[in-house]
Amino acid sequence: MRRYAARRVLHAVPVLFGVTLISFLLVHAIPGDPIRTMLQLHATPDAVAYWRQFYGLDLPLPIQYLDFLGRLGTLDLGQSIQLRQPVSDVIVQRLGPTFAIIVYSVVLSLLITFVLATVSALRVGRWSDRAIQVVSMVTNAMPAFWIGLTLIEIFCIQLGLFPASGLRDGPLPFIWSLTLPSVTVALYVSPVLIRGLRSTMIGLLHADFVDAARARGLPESSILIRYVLRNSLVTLVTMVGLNVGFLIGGTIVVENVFGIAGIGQLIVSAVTSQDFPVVQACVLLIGLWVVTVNLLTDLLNAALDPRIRL
Amino acid sequence: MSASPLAPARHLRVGLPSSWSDRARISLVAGLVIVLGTYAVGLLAPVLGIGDPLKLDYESALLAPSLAHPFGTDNLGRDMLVRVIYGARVDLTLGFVTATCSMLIGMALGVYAGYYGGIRESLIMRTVDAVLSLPFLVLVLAIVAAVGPGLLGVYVAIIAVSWTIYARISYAQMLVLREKQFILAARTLAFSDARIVFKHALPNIFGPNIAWLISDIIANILGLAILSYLGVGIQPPDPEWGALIADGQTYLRTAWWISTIPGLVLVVVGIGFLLIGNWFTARLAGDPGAQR
Repeated sequence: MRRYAARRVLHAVPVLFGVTLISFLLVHAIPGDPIRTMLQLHATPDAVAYWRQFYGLDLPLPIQYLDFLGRLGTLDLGQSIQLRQPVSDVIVQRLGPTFAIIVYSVVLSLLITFVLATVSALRVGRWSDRAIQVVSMVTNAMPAFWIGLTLIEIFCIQLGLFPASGLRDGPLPFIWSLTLPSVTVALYVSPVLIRGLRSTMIGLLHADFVDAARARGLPESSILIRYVLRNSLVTLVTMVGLNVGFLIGGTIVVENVFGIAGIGQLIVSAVTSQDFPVVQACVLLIGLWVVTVNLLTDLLNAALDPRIRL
Repeated sequence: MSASPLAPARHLRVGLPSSWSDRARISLVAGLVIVLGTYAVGLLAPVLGIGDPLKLDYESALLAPSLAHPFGTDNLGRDMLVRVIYGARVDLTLGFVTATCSMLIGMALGVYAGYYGGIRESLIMRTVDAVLSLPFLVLVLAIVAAVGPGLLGVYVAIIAVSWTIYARISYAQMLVLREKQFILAARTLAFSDARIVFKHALPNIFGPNIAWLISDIIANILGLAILSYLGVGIQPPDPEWGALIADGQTYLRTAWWISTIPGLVLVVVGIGFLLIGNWFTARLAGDPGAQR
């Protein structure tokens, strides 16, 4: 296990490096001048030259990159042009809601996936299986923001059950106001998970060790719980881990639909106002998340399933 | 799928129960009708004389769907049906163009990496790893920020991100092919690299790439819709499905149709692509030749 873990961590290093390089190049090598954007009407040649030197943009690219890595080491992500505060402060303020939506929607999608995939796998080819497949195919073709808007229309405007935007204070109202956004993300992510878990479970239901258990006369219910569901947990962990990027994408959209001040709203407003330090920091942060989650998923899987370590 | 006299025998060889393949074919036809039908109407819109998507008419603002305006009108009195039809041009064109460009770039780089190996392979495939470790939407947003909001930025950003999957698919295929007898034979015969790659390897690499292309088209269309919804895609007043849905958000309470109907159209077209994709996957899985 230790050797596998070491190998896997080593593999993550070049990818992380790539992520820092991409977020660096995004700002520095692509046409468009951040300084001019920042100064706008005040962009006299003197001012541009002054600020370019101030930010070290007159140095050669490789040196700028090393400098960038050095500043990352001290968590210095620069200054937000639009909000005029350190980027790291801005990000810390926004982490909470995003994190809450991600956790809430993962819980919801696990519930949905577990129930629907089990029903589907136990009744392959029957109408309930077909219905689940059709519904998940249709949901798969829906853009997340449209799901969100439709939910707002039904549950906020017609039924008046939830707040249409923003977050409430206090633990219960907070969770309540996060419900529709998280349901939206869960509906967006679940079809992929259901498809994966369904085929794993169908495979498991016909596996030799399950047949053997059946031959020994174990009741079908305990076969299902102890053999099939337990083994398919590994698949579920993997799929959630691998789809974390997808999940974050959904969260970004949903925060903008429901007006929630999280990382997703931050990155979109930074893109619209060309606030490059913030865009760069968000890309870095999300890249770091994805790489870490993928790493943890692989390690968790190796711990659960010894065959992977080989 | 030519109608040769050998067609029935082909099914036996493929080994799919005929009902299965019938159903797959129905889904293909339905998908093609939806997708190509929508696109044809969109492309022919100026010829068909259905009206001007930008024409304002304050007298008939926020009208519910009726015979005169089947999809209703928006807050500026523009006919939603006309706007949805003109949106089809923008959306589907983007889907087809970005997916095709990404496929060509990805295949070229993936095959190159897989065929030559070594430092070229590491350089290309580690770039792919890094790009794929960032969520699609995040990277596309960041590139749009750098290029500048608007349709051009969306094209550049989507292509810059989505070539990677094709590269990974083609690379994996090329690695397997490289060791196959017929490629080794071609090498022994001292065929040029170009001849080996184009005549012998590429035909075997197309299948999986095309299968991905179909789901990529709809993913890219959804990407444009999301970006327009977020305000960094197409700029007003041009019609585009995501932008239309965004326009309606303010009027959800009074005029549900502005957001709901373009969304439904998007879902139907998405289902059309999924149906085509299903047929393709079934064929690819059923055809022993495609799995080499």
